[in-house]
Amino acid sequence: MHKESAIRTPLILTDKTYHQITEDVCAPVEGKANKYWYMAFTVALIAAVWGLGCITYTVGRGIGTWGLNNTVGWAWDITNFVWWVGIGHAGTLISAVLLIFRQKWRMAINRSAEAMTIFAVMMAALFPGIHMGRIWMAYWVFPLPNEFGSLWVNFNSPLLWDVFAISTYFSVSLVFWYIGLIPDFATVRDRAIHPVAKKAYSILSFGWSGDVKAWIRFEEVSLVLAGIATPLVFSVHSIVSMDFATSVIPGWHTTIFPPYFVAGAIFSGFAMVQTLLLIVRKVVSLEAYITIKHVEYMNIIIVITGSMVGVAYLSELFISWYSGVPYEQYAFLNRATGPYWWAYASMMTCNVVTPQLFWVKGIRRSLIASFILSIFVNIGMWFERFVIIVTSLHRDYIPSNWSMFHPTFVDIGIFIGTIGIFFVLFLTYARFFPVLALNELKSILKSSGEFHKKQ
Amino acid sequence: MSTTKKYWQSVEQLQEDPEFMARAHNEFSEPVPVDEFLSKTKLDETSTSRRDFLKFLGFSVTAASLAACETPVMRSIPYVVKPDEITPGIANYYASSYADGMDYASILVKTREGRPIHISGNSNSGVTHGGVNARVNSSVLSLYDSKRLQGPQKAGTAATWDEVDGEIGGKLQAIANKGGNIRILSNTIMSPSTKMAIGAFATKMSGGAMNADEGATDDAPAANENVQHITYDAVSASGIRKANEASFGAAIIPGYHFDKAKVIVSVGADFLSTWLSSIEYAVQYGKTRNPNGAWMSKHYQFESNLSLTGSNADVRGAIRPSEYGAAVAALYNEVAKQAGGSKVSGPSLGESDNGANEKIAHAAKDLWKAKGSSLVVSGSNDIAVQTLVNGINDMLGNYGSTIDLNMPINFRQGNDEKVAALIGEMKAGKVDALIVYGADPVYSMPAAWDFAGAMAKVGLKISFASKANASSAACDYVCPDHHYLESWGDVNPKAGYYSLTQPVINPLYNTRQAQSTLLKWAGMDEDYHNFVKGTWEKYGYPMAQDQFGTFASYWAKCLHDGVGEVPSMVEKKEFAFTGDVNTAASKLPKPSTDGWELELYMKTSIGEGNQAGNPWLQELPDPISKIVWDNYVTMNPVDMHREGFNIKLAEQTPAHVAKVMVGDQELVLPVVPIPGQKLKTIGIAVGYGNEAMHLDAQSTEDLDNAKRNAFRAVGYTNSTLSYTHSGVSVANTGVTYKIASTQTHDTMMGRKIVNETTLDTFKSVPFDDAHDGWNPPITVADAYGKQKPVREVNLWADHGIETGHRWGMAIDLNLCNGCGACVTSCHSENNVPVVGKDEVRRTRAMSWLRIDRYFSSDADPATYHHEEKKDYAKMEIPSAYPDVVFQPVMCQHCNHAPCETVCPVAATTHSDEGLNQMTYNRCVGTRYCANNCPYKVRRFNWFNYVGDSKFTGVNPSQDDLSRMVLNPDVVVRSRGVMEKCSMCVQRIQSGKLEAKKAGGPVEDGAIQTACSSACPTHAITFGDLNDSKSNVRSNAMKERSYHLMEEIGTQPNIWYMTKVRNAEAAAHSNHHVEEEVS
Repeated sequence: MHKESAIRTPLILTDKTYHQITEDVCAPVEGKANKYWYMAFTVALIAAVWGLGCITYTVGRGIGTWGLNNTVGWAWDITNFVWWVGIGHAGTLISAVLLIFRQKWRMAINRSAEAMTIFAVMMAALFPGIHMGRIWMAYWVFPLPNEFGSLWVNFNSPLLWDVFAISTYFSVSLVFWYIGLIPDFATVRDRAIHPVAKKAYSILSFGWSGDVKAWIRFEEVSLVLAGIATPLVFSVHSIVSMDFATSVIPGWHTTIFPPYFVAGAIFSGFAMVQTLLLIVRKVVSLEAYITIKHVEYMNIIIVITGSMVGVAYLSELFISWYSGVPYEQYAFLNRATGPYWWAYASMMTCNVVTPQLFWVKGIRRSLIASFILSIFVNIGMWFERFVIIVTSLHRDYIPSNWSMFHPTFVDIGIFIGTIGIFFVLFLTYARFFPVLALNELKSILKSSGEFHKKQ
Repeated sequence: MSTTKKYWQSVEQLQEDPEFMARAHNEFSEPVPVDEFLSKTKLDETSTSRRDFLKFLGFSVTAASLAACETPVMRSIPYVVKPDEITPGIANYYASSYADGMDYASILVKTREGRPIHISGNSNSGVTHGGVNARVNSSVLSLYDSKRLQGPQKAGTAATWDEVDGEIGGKLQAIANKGGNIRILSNTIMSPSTKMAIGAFATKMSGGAMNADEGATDDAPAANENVQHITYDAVSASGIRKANEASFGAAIIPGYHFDKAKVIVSVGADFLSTWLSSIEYAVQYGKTRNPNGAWMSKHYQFESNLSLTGSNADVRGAIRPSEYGAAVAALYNEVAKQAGGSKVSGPSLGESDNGANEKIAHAAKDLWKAKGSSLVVSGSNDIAVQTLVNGINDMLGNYGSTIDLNMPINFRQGNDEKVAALIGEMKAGKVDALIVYGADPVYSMPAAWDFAGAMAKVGLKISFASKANASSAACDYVCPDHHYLESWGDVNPKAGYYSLTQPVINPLYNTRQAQSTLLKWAGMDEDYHNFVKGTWEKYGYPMAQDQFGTFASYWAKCLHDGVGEVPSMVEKKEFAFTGDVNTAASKLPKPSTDGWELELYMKTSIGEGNQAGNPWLQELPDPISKIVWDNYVTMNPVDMHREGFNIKLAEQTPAHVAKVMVGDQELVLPVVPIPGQKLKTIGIAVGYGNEAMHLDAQSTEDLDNAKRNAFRAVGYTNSTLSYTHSGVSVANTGVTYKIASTQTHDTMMGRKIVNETTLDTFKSVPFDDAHDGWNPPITVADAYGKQKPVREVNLWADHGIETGHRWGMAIDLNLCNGCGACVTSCHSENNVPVVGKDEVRRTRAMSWLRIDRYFSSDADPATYHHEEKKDYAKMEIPSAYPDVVFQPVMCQHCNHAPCETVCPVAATTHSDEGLNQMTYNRCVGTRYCANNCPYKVRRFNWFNYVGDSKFTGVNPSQDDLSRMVLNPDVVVRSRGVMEKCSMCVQRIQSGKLEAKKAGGPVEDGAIQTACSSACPTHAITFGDLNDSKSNVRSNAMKERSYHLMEEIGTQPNIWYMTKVRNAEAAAHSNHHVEEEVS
C-alpha cells in the first residue's frame, strides 16, 4: 500500500473522487471533439497528405529527388530518424523506468507519453524504409530463411542492429501500452451507449472482467514488461548511435556516442512530452491531473539530461583537440566555423543554454516558459543530429570530396509530413483513447490526492 | 560378376507375356482417355471412372500450366551458318586507326556480336606505342549517334545516292568542261590513299594529263590548277611549317623525341594534351619521368593559361600571351650567353610577379648543360616566334637528336595563307564548286573571314559531313561520309610509319565513304577497300617483298597488326639552319599592357570540337578546372576578387557571367577561377557553341550558344591564324550561371593525400628518416602507447590473402599527367551512365574513377608532421601561381574495408583474391557503405538513368542506337543500387579463364583493367601482388610507395608512388603575390 507524507505536494489536485476521475478522462472520448481538435486535425492531415505525396514521389522516382549526393549520403532522412527515435525514449522511460522506481507522478503522463513513443517510433521506422534505394526489397534486412542458400544478413552492421532494436522497441512499447490500456478501455466499454462504440471498445478491452485475479496479473505483467522495457531505454538509442560510432568518419567515430545519444534522447523526449501535454491538459481540461508539479518534475529531468548533453558536447570539443588527430580537430573546427556554423550555433544555444534556465524555479514552474523552451529543445536536438551527420560527412578525409548539402522540397516535405502524420495519430488517440491512466490514478487518489491529504 | 545378368521389373516381363510386351511400347502403360476428355461430350456422360478423371485432371492441368508458361520472346536471330570468327559471347579485336585531323592513334577495337564497344591502344605502333587519349577512346560512342545523317541530302531533304550522284556528276562535268574552279577544302588528311583518290578526282575534273597516282596537295599543285585541295586546320600550326621552310627549306613539322630530352622548355605548347602528336609525346615524356632512372627530365613551361602540360612541369613561369615572343627572345639570348654566341634584339619582358625572368635564365643554363639532349618547343602560330625557337634548338645542337627533320609528322598540314586566298577567291565569285570534307569552316573559321558569306557566292556546294553541321547546312548537297569505324583507309602520321583503318561494323546508315564518292565522281571503281589495297600493293609491298611471298600475306599481316612501319627506309638528308634570327626577332609580337589579354586554347576533353556532341567527353571533367558540360572564361582568383566575380563556386554558388569583347566579337561566358592563370589574362576554350553538337544537358539557365563559340575570335596576323589577343575587355554582366564541377575544394589542407618530394631530397634523404623522411611509414600507438605499423593495430581478423591471386594496383604519380584517358576507358568498359550537368552540379557524378587535382597553397605546412600550427582557413586558398598534382582515385579494394562491415544485407563483401565485391542485385541502397568510405569512391544510382526523362539525350543507355555501345559483360545497374570500381572483375575472370584454358598460370600483364590499359604513360600498373615477379609487386615494394589515408587502417590493395619533382621545394619556387584573396 502506497504511503505518502501529508506535506508532499499532491499529485491529484482539487477534490476528485474515483467517479470524477472516470468522468474527466472518459468525457472527451465519449462526447464530441471540440473545435480546437478539428482545427489541429485538419492542419495535421494536410501536412500528412503532403508528406505522403512526397514519399510516393521519392519511392516512385528515386532518392535523387532529395538533396543527397555522393559525399553526403545521409542528411534529413537519418536526422529525422534519430530525432523521432530519440523522442520516443521519454515514453518508455516514464512507463518503465519510473515504474520500477515507484514514481507515482508518472501515472498522469505515462499513457500519453507512451502513445507519443509509439507514434514517434512509427515515424522513425518510416525513414530507414524510405531512405533505401530499393525499398521494395526492404524485407531483406530481416533474417528470414530463404531460397538463396539461405542468405543471411550481415550481423556486423549497425543498421541491422537498428532493425532488431527498433522492432523490439516498437513491439515491446506497443504491448506495454496496450496492456495498460485494457482496464481503461473496459471502463469506456462499460459506459458506452452507441453500439458501434460498445463493440469497438469491447474488442479493445480484450474481455477485461475487472476481477481481482485479473488485477493481480495485470500488476505482475506491468512489472515484467517494465523490466523488459527498461534496458531498451538505454540499448535502443545506444544502438542507433552505433550507426555513427562504429564508422571511421571523423566526428562519427567516437565512443561517447552511446551515453551521449541516450541522454539526448531522454532530453528531447521529455521536451516533446511537455509540448504535447501542456496543450492536452489545457484543451481536455486535465489540469488537476497533469499538475505544475508534473511539469516541474519533467523539467528537472530535462535539465539533468540537458546538462549531460552539454557536458558531452564540451568533452567532444576537448577530446578533438587533445587527441592530436588533425582530421578530428578539423571536423570540430569546421562545425563551429565552417559553412554550417549556424546549425552548430543553434544546436549549442538550444541544447546547452536553454535547459540550464530550468535551474530557476520560477522558470521550471512556468507553463508558458516550459512550453516555449521545450520547442527550442526539440529544435536544438534536430540540429544536433543534423550537425553530427551532415557536417561530418560533407568534409571528411579527402578534400577533393568536400561538398555541400542542400535539402530539396521533398526532404522538407517528408519531415513536415511525418510531423503531420504524428499529430494525426496523436489527435486520433486523444479523441478515442483515454489519455490518462485511469486505473493507475485511482490507485493513488487516496494517498496523493489533494483532498485526501487534507484529511 | 556374370555378364549375362538380366534385370526384370515384373513377372510379366520375365515371362515375356505378349500383352505386356504390346503395352510396353506405349507411352503410358494404361491408356489416358485424352480423346474422350477433349471431345465435346459432357464429362458426366462419359463412362470414365474416378481414376480416369484424376488422370485427366493431372494431365490437363500439367498441360495447361506448361502451355501457360510462355517462354519469353527472345529477339535474337541465330546464325544459320556461323561465321568463322564470330562466337556470341566472345569478343573480337581488330586493329584500326583513329585520325580525325587533330589526333592520331593506332587502336585496337573490341567488338562483340559484330559491333564495336571499346577502344584501346595498339602497342604495335611505333608512333603511339599503345597509347590513346580520352578523345580517341570515347569515339566509339560517336558511331552510335542517332543525330548522324542517315543518307544523302539535297537542299536539306533526303535524297538517294543515284539522284545525288547523277546531279552532282552532271554539274561537276559542266564545270570541268568550261574550265571552272573546283576546290576541296578539308582538314588535315594523313591518308596517302585518300590523297590519291582526291588526285584521281582532280584529274578527271581538270581533264588534264596528270599522273593519276599523284595526289593534288597544296604543296604540289595539280598540272591543271582548276582543281585544288586546300587543307584547313581550325587550330593551325602553319607557323611552324612556315618557320621550318625559312629555316631549313622544308615546310615540315619535324618529329620530336621528348624521350631523349633531358631538359624540355615549352613556351605555350600543350604537348601532353592537344599539341600536334600529343599521344606520342605523352608516351615519350612518361619515359623520362622516372626518378630512379639514369636521368630524370627537367621540364620548364612558360605560358599564360594553366594547361595540362604546365601543371606537370617541374618549373612553371606565367607570362602574358603577348610576351611569348619576348620570352623566346629572352631564352635565345640567355642560351646565346651560355654558348658564347651573339644575342638578338627583340622585345623584352617586363617585371614578373612569379619570377618568370629568373626561371628563363635557369632554363637556359639547364638547356646548355644538356645540349644535344634538350628540346625547346612553342605552341605559338607566329612564324617569327617559331623561327627563333628553331634558332635556340640549333644553338643547342638538338637537330638530329631530339628533333628529327628527316622524320616529319603529317599533323596540321594546313596553310593559313592558302586558306585566306581561297576565301578571297570565293568572295570574288571565282570558285564554281566547293567540296567541304572533314572540316566545319562556317563554325570554326574566324568571324572576320565571313566564310558563310563567301560560300554564298559559290555555285555548287557539297559537304561530306557525317553529322549535320553549320557548313553542311549551307551546302546544296550533303553526301555523308561513314564513321571511321565503318571505313577502310590508311594513315601516314609520320614519315616511314603507316597504319590501316578497317571497318568493324557494317555501315549503320545509308552513308558512303567520302573517298568512294570521289572515286565514283572520278569515274573509277568506287570500292575504296580495293583502292587502299592497290596503294599498298604498289608502294608498301615492294619494301617488304623479302619477308612476304605474296601481297595477300603482307596485306593480312598489316591488317592484323594494324601497322606497316618502315622508318629505316626513309631517306636521310642533311639539314642546315639558315633561319634569320635577327629579322625574326624584330618581327616578334610586342608585349602589350593594354587591357586584358586572351589566349584561346583547346580543352583536353573537347579538342577542336569534332566530338563536342559526345556525352562521355562532355561529362569528362576538364583536368584543370574539373568543370563539365560548359565553356567558360579562366581567370586568376586574384583578378576575380578585384573584379567582383564569385570565386568559391559550388552547387548553389554560381559563377558570374562576363561579356568579353575581342575586337568586335562578343563572347558571353561564365568566369571560373583558375589559379596559375597569369594575372590580367584570360583563357577561353574553342570547340563549344556548335549548334550541331548541342546536347540537352539539363542546364538550368542557358546562354546564347553562338556567343560561346570562341573560334569566331580567332585572328589572322602576319599570314597565320592567331589565337592570342590583347586589348580585350572583360565586363561582369552581373548575371549568374550555375557551374557543374566534380571538385569544389582544391587544396590538400596539409594532409598526406599526394605525397610529394623533390629529386634532390629523393636521392639524398632516406625515405623513412626520422626527421626529414619523405615517405615515413605510418604508425599508430597501440593500447600501451607503443608505436606500431598501422596494419598491426586492428580489430578485425585478416582475410587470407597470402595464397592464390591478390589483385592490386600501383599508381605512379610521376607518370600520371591528368589526361583522363583512363576515366573514359572505364566509362566505356563498365557501362557507367552519363548523368548530365545538373546532376554533376549536385555532386552526383557517376565516374567510378576520378582524377583529383590539387593546387598548393601558401599556407601549406612544410611537412605532414602534425605539430605545426595550421591555419585551416588560409589553407583552403590556393596560391596565385600554385604547384599542381593529379591523383587518380578509384575503389581502393581495402582488405579491411569500412564499407563491408556496415552493409546490412551483406551486398558488399571481400573476395578471396583481394577484391571488394559489389553485389548489385542484393543492394537495397541504404548508402552506409558510401558514408563509411573514407575515399568516397562509391556511386549511388540516384535515379533510373535508363528510363527517367531527365537523362534522355545524354545517357547512352536510353537511346536504342547508342545503347549498342554497352558492354554485355557488365550489368547496367538499376535505380537505388550502389556501384563502384570493380577492378574490371569481368576482365580478371576472363583472363583467369583464358589462362586456365591455355593450361598455364596467369602471365603478368595479360589481364589489364580498362584504366591501366588506357593510360598512355602506364601510370597505372595492375596485376597480381602475390606473383613475386609482377610489376605491380615490385612497384608496391618501392620506397616511393604509400597508401592513401593509411592511418585509418583500411589496408588498401592500391599503392600510390610519391611524386618526385625535378625542382626546388614548392614553398621556395613560388613567389607570393601581394594581393589578398578571400
